[in-house]
Order: sequence, then structure tokens, then C-alpha cells
Amino acid sequence: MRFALLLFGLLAAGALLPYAPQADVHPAAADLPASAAHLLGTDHLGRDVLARLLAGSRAFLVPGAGAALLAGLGGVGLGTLAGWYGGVVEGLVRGGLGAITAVPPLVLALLVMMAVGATPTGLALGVGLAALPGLAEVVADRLAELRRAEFVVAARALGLGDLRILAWHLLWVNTRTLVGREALAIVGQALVLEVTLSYLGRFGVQEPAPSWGNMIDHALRTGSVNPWTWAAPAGAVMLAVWAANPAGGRR
Amino acid sequence: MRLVLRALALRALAFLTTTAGAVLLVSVCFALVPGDAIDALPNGPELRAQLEGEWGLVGGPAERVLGTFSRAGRLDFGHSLTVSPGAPVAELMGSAAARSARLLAPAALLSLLAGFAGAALAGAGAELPPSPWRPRLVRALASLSALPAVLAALATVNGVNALAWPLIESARLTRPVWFALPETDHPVRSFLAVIVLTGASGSFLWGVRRAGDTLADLAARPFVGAERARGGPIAPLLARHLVVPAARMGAAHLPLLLSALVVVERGFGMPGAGSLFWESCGRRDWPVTVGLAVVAAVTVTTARFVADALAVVFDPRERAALA
Amino acid sequence: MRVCAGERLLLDDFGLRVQAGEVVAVVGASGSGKTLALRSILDLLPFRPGRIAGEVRVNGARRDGRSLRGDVGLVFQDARGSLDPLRTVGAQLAHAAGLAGAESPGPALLERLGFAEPERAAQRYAHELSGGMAQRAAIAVALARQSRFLLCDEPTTGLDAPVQAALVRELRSLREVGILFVTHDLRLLPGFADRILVLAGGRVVEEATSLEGLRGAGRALVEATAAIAPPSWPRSRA
Repeated sequence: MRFALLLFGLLAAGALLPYAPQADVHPAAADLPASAAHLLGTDHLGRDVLARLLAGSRAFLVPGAGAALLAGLGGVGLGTLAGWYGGVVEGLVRGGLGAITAVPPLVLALLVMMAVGATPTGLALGVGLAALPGLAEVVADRLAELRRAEFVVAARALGLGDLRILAWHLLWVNTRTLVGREALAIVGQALVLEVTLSYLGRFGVQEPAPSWGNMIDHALRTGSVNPWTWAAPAGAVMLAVWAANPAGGRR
Repeated sequence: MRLVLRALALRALAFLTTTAGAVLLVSVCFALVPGDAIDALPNGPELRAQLEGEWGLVGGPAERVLGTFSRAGRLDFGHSLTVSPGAPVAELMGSAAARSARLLAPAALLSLLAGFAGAALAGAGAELPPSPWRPRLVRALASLSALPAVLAALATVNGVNALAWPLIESARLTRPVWFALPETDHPVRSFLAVIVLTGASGSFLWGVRRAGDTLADLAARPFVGAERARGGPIAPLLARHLVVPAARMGAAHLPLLLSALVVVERGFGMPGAGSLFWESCGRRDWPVTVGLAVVAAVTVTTARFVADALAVVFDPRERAALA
Repeated sequence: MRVCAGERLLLDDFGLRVQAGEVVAVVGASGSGKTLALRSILDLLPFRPGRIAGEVRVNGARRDGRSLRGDVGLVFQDARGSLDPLRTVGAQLAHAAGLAGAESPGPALLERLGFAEPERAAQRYAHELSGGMAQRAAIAVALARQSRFLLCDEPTTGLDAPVQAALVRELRSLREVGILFVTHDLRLLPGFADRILVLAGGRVVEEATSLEGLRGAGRALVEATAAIAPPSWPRSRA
């Protein structure tokens, strides 16, 4: 998990560097191999691959963070309701979550993006909504397990209020790592969705703005001689996905 | 018997409400969509009034939601707008689903089997001394399959192309019929598609972990030890206890497989429900899009209900619980 | 018999003899290796790597741990857990009998073990049985398997006192099997055990035919039990 945070931190820093896609077009310098001036070479339009790679990370980090926030807030809220109160409340919440998971995640994300627009906001909403039930389930399961624990009974016996037990002991101390891991995985999911949309066409980030997905798509369609044009973004995607899912979790 | 029926009825109720909820979600998304495909049609403005009524594009969000709901309930999915204008959506979906089923069914079975095989290979549930390299090997394989479907499809298609092209050019291989023609079925392409679908949808990876946990947990139970102490066969015992978890896993994998289906079908250029969905999204063909989304959701909830029903039939503890 | 886990010697020089119809009790403090001893007889160590050195003979013939399974039955502490949750008691009796190549003993066996309504009991599932009933069912399954010896691993733990007493009585009445009864509660032994073995630190340190006959480590256990035992309990003259 630490590696992933490091990686994403670096990417975010790189993404903050100013990059003007149009200004980068140098037809004369097309398809150059890796060199000192261009560490990963250039693509078919002469654009520096590394610069696009760093700038392109914005395309998934921002929506990913938004999705993680959405799923995190909603998921923790609903999961707490379900896990803490149990009974009918839990049944209702889980049923509602079940309704969301019944729609395959890609289908759901696409529907949301069609309703809201093929923008980073749309991506964030789509991924966030699709990932919300997973996070909620994780929190609910953990709380259901913990609320019967002896230390909770002991805390109550000491006179601690339910809210305090819940907020501090259960949620913060015991659940935050779990939630953190899920949130990281959600950023990975946002990346995968972005790449998928670019690959399928039309709903991804549009040229000339870079994104790892459209870099791969562009490279394969224009058939550049420099292998880094597709290898770099593809490798970056795999590395990021592997890092975001440390235990090899689900998508 | 009455317990079984009551438990089944409860599960059926859960199935209906979840399905309704999913349809609601789909129709809400649809209701919020700005613009429509009528503008894309050449004689759109003339037919606007008629088409709007037919496709439920009238009224505010609430009316649209209700409209979709009632039409879904009547199984009236309308007619395609742009993908195959005029064609009844139900028909389109039917033939597409039939084609996709040929990919989905083997992939679903394979991911379940591979999940449990992988777990068993890693030594879960066995009485043999566990060798350290086996679980590591399985974990490595499983993390390889963390590859997203999109990249796997890309890699496979481009890899095969890259491999085959020089062979074709040097005339050592005649260009196969299915190489670029989407309509022709070919076992090799289907096989590759199934492999990618299984391996890269996340279901295999998830399956291995879940299967491993389930198997290990099961093998540690006292009644398994008791059967061993009795000198009885363990394999049938474990198998009997794995039916319900396997069914549940299958139902849980289905959404992942359906998502990956869109990518795989499009990547491999194969027609089916996945490609149809993507096309209808791109062309804003709402009846088809909504229809497919609803069908996908219903498939998932049905699979869940089947797993629940199996649990009620096979596990007496499920009948005792009220929820 | 000696049992090692890796480098550690867990059980050393464990030897005993049991005859049909006999009840041999093995007592000792927690961690003395009682459960381990039972599992080793059937080669069912819960950990690896483990080595068992030693031999088991039945009627003079040397038998391998695995081949003993079935002929020697194991009765677990967690009775409900040791029953298959998906099958009725009757089905499990039939299955066990089948393993021995015999006919299912049916509800008659359950009646013998103290079930009030044996037919109904045979239709029950494990989760519907109380602790005592589950233990009786587990013993019935072992008997259906035609086990000639029962290795009982603290089968009365967690049960009410009257249920414990009844269970012990029923075990005593099983004249056709030899019973090795591991327990840490010595109060069960009067009138029940024919011989008592004391286990400490992985070795058999004492053997006697009654509580009064115990000296040394066994005596210490008897004294410790005096605090919770009835007045008739043997106490040292202070």
C-alpha cells in the first residue's frame, strides 16, 4: 500500500507540471527513440512520451480520488448503518446495495456517464457509484464482526456512549486501514475504466489531452516505430493497477 | 417441507425487490440523460412527437422512470432507434445474448473450476505437508491475472496479429478466414476470447482467493477432521459442502464477466450482447441500451436467486434463519 | 510413543494399554499433551512438520495410525462441530455404518444412548441438537462405525453437570468398547474409570486404579480439585 501511495504521489506531482498538449506537437521530431532529450522518445506527432505520461496521470488520479471520496463517504455511511444496527436496517441497506451491484460495473459506469456527461466528473460518479457497495459491504462486515466483540461490551460497561465507541474505536481504529485499501483499489478501478473507455472509443479523454488510455489507443492506431509510445502507458497501467490492489483484490 | 417453501418464498421476495431496485437505478440514469437520438435521425423533427411517445423520452425524470419501469415490467423493450432501426429490441437482444452465451458460459464455468483447482493446488484442504512453492506459484499466477480485461484483450489481439503477420507475409500461413471478419465464428478466436474473459475479468483472481479461503476454512472444520478420523473419504464430503459456496461465487462473478464481455467482444471483433451494448451507447439508442442493462441486471439477480435456492435446499441452517 | 514438532519434543515415552470394556482415564493439566496423545494414535497431528515414533498394537498386531482410523473412534470436545451440518443424524449413522460395511443401526442405537424420541432425533440436524444430545449423537456415529475403541477428548467440557453425569454413565454402559477418556476434571472419575494415567510435561508420570491410589503429581491434581469437589472427595489429612 505504501508503494502505491508513493507511486500515485509521484504521478500527481508530475501531473502538476505544466503541460500544453498542442504546444508539444513537433512533426519533425516524430517517432524518436529514447534519448537524453526525450527519456521515452516521442510519438507519431513528435510529442514527448514521458511528459504525456505524467500529464496523463491526471486523467485517472483526479476522477479516481473523486470516486474514492464518493464511495468512501457513502460506503462508510451506509456500511455503518448496516453493520451497527443490524436487523431490518441491515437487510434494507444490503438489499439496496445488492440492487446496485446487480448492474455490471462497466454498464453502470457507462449509464452514469451518459447521464452526466463523458467528463472526469462523470467518470468519478460512475466509478464511485459502482464501487460504493463493495466498500459498504466491507465496512458492514467488519462492524458486524466487531460490535459483538468483548471490548465493545466492556467499553459500554465503562459508560462510553455508543456514538463514541462507534466513531473512535470501531471506525477509526479498526476499520480505517480496510477502508484505505478499498479506496486505493477504487483509484485503480478508475484507471482501468478510463483505459477501457478510451479503448472502446468515444467516452474516454479526448485528444489532444493525454490520458494513458488514449495514449495506448493512439499508439496502436498510428503504429509508431518507437515502442515506448504504447509500452510506457501500458506498463504504467499495469504497474498502477498492481500497486493499487496489493492483495490482488477484485475490481 | 414447509420451512423450505417459506425460506424459498423469502428469497424470491428478495430477488424481486433487488431486481426492481436495479431496474429503478437503470431507469433513473436513463431519465437523467440529456438529448436523445431523435436528433440524429434524418427525419427526426417530423417524427419527434411519435417517437418520443414510443421511446418514453417525454416528460420529466419522474415520468420517464415510471415509464421505463412499466415497460420493463411488461417486457416491452420497444424498437431499436439507430443500431438496427425499427427492429424489436427483444429480438436483437435475444440473438445477441445467444451469441454471447457461448462465450460467457464456458468462461463462468472455467473461472469457478480454475478458482477451486488453483486453491486445491495451493494445498488448501489437503492432508499432505504443504510445500512452500505451491501457494506462491498460485499467487503469482493469480496476480498475473490482475491484468485488466482491456489490456489483456489488447495484448492478445495485437500479439496474435504481430505473430501471425510475418508468417502470413512469408507465406508460411494462409490468412485465416476469421482474421478480420467479425461475423464468422471460429473456434480459435472463441477460445482466446474465453481465456481472456476468464483470466482478465477479475473473476479468476478473485475466485482463486475466495475459493482458497473457502476451502481452507472448510478443511479446518471439526467435522472434516471427524470424517478423517473415521477413515472416510474427504473429497466427496468437501464437494458436497462446496456446492453452495461455488454457486454463490458464480453469481458474484457474473457482473465482472458481463463487464469484461463488453471489452472482449469489442476487442476481438465478435458480435454479441457486449458489442451491441457498446454500439447502442455510442449511438444513443436508448431502447437497446436500457433493455440490455435491465437484462444484465436481471441475469445477475436470477443467478443470485438460484444460488440462494440451492442454499435453502442443501443447507438446513438456511431454512432456520428468518432472513 | 514420541511426538515431535520440528525440533521440539512434545510427547515422550507415552505408553498405555486399553482393553475392551475398560475405561482408562488420562488426566493432566492443560498443555500436558493429552489431546496430542489421542491425535497421534490416529496420525492426525494438527501441525507440520511432525514426527511420530512409536507403535500401536491391536490384539498384538502392529497397526499403522491411518489404518486404525475407524476401528478406533475419536470423540471430539466440540460435538456439534464434529457432526456434518448438512446431513441428518440418521444419515450420518448410516454413512458411518457404511464405512464399516455394516447396516445402519438405526434409531435403536440412539435409544441406547439415552435419546427420548430416537425416531425424531434421527431426523434432526446438528444445529438443532443441544450440547449433550450432540455429544451422544457423535458417540452413536462412532459406534455405528463399529469402532472397538473410543478415544474421548474432553467430551464433557461445556456441558451442564447433570448432562455430564448422564454422558459418563452412558459411556460406562458401553461394555463392548474400550474407552480412553482424556479429561481435566477429575470429579468425573469415581465409579467411571478403571485406571487413571497422569500426564505431565508430555510424559506419563503416574498410573493408578483409583483416585486414592495417586501420589505425587496425581495427588496434586486431586488436592487441587478438592476446592470444587463434594465432601466425599479424598482429601489429605491436614
